[in-house]
Amino acid sequence: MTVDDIISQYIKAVVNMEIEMAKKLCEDAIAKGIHPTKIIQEGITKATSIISDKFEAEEYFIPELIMAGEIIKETMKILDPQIKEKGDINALGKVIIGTGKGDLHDIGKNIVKTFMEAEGFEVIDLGVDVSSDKFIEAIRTEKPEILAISALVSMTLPEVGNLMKALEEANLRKDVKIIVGGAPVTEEFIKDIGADAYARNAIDGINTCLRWVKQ
Amino acid sequence: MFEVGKTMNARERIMAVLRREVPDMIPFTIYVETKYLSGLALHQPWRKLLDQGLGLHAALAVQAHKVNCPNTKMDINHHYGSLTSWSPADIMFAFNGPHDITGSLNTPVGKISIKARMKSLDLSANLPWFPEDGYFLKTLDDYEVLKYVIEDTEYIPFYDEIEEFKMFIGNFGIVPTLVPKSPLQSLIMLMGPKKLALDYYMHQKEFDELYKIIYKKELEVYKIAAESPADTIWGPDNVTALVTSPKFFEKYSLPFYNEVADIFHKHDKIYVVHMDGELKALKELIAKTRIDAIESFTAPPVGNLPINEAKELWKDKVIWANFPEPVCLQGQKAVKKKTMEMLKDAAPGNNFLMGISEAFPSFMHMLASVPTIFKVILKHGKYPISID
Repeated sequence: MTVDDIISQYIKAVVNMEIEMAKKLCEDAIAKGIHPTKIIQEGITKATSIISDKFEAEEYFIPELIMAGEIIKETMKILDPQIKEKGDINALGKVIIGTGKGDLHDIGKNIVKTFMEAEGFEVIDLGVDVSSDKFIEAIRTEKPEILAISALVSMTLPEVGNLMKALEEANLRKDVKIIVGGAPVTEEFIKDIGADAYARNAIDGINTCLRWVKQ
Repeated sequence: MFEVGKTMNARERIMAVLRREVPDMIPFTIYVETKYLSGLALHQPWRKLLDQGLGLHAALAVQAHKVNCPNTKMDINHHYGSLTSWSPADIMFAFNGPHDITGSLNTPVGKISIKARMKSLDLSANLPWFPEDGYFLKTLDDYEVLKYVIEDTEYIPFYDEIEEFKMFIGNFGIVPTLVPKSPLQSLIMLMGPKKLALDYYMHQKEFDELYKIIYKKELEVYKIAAESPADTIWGPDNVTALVTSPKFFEKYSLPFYNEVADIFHKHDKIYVVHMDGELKALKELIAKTRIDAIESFTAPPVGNLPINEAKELWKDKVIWANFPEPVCLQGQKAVKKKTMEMLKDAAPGNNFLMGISEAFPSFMHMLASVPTIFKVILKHGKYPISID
């Protein structure tokens, strides 16, 4: 198999949810001396792009995003030692992510995190039920380009509004782009609290972040 | 049969719609559990709203069975950390405060365990299924233990509470029998959406074997519900296409819904299923079910299927629409506008109810919004609806 064949077979395996095949092809690629950057840029990024399109077209749903995320994570485990050895990957940008205060649901957040990392973002995950103070401290310390907040329960929405006010008071609002997603979040809510963008779903949120960093 | 021109009470109104008959106006309901009943009966604005026809839906109040797994030992420990006191009264109150629980099911073939953070003991509001370790099924070995527990389960009919609760609710609403989540939704509760996805793709044999065992066992308890004195059966399924994708729904949910719907219909029961998520991708498959009512149907902007589109496709089904509660954050003018939109979308209003079946951002938001919604329904929700 040529290098291009391996990469195209790898993409097919990820899209078809074949984890063992994807891992084997990734190992084959490394054995053939393919640079890990090429596998990420031409393999993983292309596969996530196809999966994202299928999600937008309602052909794939959360189970497929979770499974694809798992395959990417396993692939990255194979690539990580190579990347560290070569040390030449530049992150697209830094993102702080977490679910708002009172929200324990982490599925959406975890999908966004995995796909963002696959796209090349450095993601700092603050976990679930994150207080305004914790978000603010992380923004001060890490100086991210983007803050991504997940809110899946209505009771968290006022807390997200409070976080926005706290960011203004801490004079940090202008330093970071803010995107909020989750079932009860609406365009109107985003406008009301003064966030920068509404993520209709995980893939829509990632695309917005990609647009921001590529501007 | 309802006599045209007569005013119905809330129970008559809800039942008329669930039986696909004509109501005097669109029913509007809120959930009710035991602890809220006295407040509703005594305090304003609830008392006034009830007298005006606000309906009560005791969806989570009673089951028609008792359950036991004779060869399984269950240990649950509640951990309250520093929320301590020497006073028995304080301790009683603390029980219902936020805390962690750890639990285990111990069987002759092994043990499975959970750890979950709970906001309170009020399970209707805070089922602890979300934390990563809040699921019994974590490894492949756990499948065998879980299969053992399910097969070890004995269900015993128990109908006293239904009769008792029907007496409490009277003509203010309805008391359905609460059944366990359907097998696929039960699997989601047992393993979480993440493991559900991973095991479906990586361990399908084990996944399908467990599914079949749950399916078979649940038929037993659904049959008990079918023979209960309740008029309606309520399945707490929380269906959303995001997790229960069309592929999952067609393979797993559809056959079960139709098998149990036929059982319920033989006993003249109305089968209501809670589907509160994004349903657009499932609309054709839901149309193929023999479920009578899709409850907690959540219209945009929270859900993604408009009421008129669902009504068009689900002609034989009742839609029990949840008011999309985040709208209340935009103020009462927006709540009024959204209620009008929902009524307009549902016009003339056949096979249609409205309700509050999800949590508001806070109790104060609910307190402000429920009277607003109901006022609009009282004014514009007379059947047939006619809004320009």
